[in-house]
Amino acid sequence: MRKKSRVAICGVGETNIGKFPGVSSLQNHAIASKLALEDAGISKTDIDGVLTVGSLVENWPHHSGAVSEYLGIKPKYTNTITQGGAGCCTMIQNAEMLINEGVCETVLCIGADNQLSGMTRELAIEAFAKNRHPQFEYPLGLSTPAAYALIAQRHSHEYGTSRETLSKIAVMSRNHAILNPKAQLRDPLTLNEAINSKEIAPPLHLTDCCISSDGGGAIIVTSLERARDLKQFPIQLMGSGNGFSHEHICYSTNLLTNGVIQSGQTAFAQANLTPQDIDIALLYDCFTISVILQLEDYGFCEKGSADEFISNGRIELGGQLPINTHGGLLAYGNPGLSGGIFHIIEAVNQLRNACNNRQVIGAKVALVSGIGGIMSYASTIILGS
Amino acid sequence: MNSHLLPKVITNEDTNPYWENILKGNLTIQRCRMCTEIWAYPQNVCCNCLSTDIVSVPCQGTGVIYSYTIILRAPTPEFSEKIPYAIGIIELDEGCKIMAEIIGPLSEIKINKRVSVVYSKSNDVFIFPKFSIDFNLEAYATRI
Repeated sequence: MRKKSRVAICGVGETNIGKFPGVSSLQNHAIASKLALEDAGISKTDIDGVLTVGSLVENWPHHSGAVSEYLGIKPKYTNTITQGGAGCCTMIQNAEMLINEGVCETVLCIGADNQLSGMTRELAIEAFAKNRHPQFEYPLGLSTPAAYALIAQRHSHEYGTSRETLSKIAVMSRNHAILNPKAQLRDPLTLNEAINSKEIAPPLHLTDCCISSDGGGAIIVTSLERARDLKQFPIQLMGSGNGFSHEHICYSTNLLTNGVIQSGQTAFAQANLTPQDIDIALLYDCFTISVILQLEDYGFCEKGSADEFISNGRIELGGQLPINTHGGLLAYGNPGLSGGIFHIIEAVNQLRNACNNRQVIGAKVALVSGIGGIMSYASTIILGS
Repeated sequence: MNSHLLPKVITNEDTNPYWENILKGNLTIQRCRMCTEIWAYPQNVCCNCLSTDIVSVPCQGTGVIYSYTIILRAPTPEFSEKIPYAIGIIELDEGCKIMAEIIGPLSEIKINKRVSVVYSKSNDVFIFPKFSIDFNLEAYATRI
């Protein structure tokens, strides 16, 4: 049983999202960091820990060091979390561990990249394909969408998950992005258009796949005591957890069992909460199927019943459990390894009651998730105001 | 298809004997002599009990499709002339699972359909084990 968390998020910052040629990966880190420091009302000399999740574009062997150097910060501790898309949530968990142990007082967590202009969508797809097993997956021609499609196909076989189920997630994300002036994809998307969008690796189509962006975000974590003296209302980290099942999907013994259950149980136990206590969920949506799996594995609904759960607007704004109110990786933005940072920042903004026309009224507790690899790493944080 | 364009496989100490067996047309699975655990992919340490007393045993090369997808969008330019092709997870009759290309008319590929191993030259170095559903193999010989 983990100790009670005593840390809070005291500042967040986000670059613009889209395509910005001429802005390097490191510069995106710096822009987001400066905005987070301003939001917190502190200076960079207050930062004594720096965490990052790496870059696909700029292959720094020691990424967090390259970022700290660029920012002119000499932290007491710096490291890069290499858990793919789970990394952003795990940065917040690691910040808690560093602060609770007295290693650091104030930790800057940054996720940013220039994936869209720095490597094009085609090169990004290729780079992710080369993350697959070099002997048993990649030489077969397994793309990343295809790897998730294997999971989706099995889920469909066991539980009847259809094109319509998956497409409902894509439409919900787009509807939320349309309300968000910063979102990259704001064209209306109907259920029929999503169901019949271009096939990539059945049952996954184009609208089931995340987009590619330039940009990033930064989050500052400090002790709850210190956060109370700062400019912003502290958003407390109530619980966090990690789970792991396999590095390569070809080693998975059961495509539908992964680390989300372990990760969620750990986070809920630390927070002393249950899924029924969550007002809003920001679920990692590299592909629509990952949201379906998480709704079931976090216990928001029974295994195999996500289709029924998501009908009647339950996961849309105004519903019982709004999801990905910023638009997610499917429509808001996704600079690759760091796309999950926006899920956390959206949760903070929702709990600060700062989301204007997409505000979830009365949101007090948010669950945020990150998924790395092919449902390989699962990371959960629960935030409260 | 320009097979020479497909990615080369770099093997290592764990996998050299596995690929050498496949070159001879023998798909093997791995068995631990200490705990009797079996698994598909070669490694010199048992992933169950960490024993190094591992033996490669012949695999019947038959099983059922556990899941599959059709790749319609090539992951890299090397595969652009190959699409569409099917990749699946095969549950071998021995009980473990292996990822492989599935050969056969794409519309006939379904979960739980029986498959058997075929060996085909996929690049200059290795003959990848693929799994074929029951169909007229000769008519599709050019696709393998």
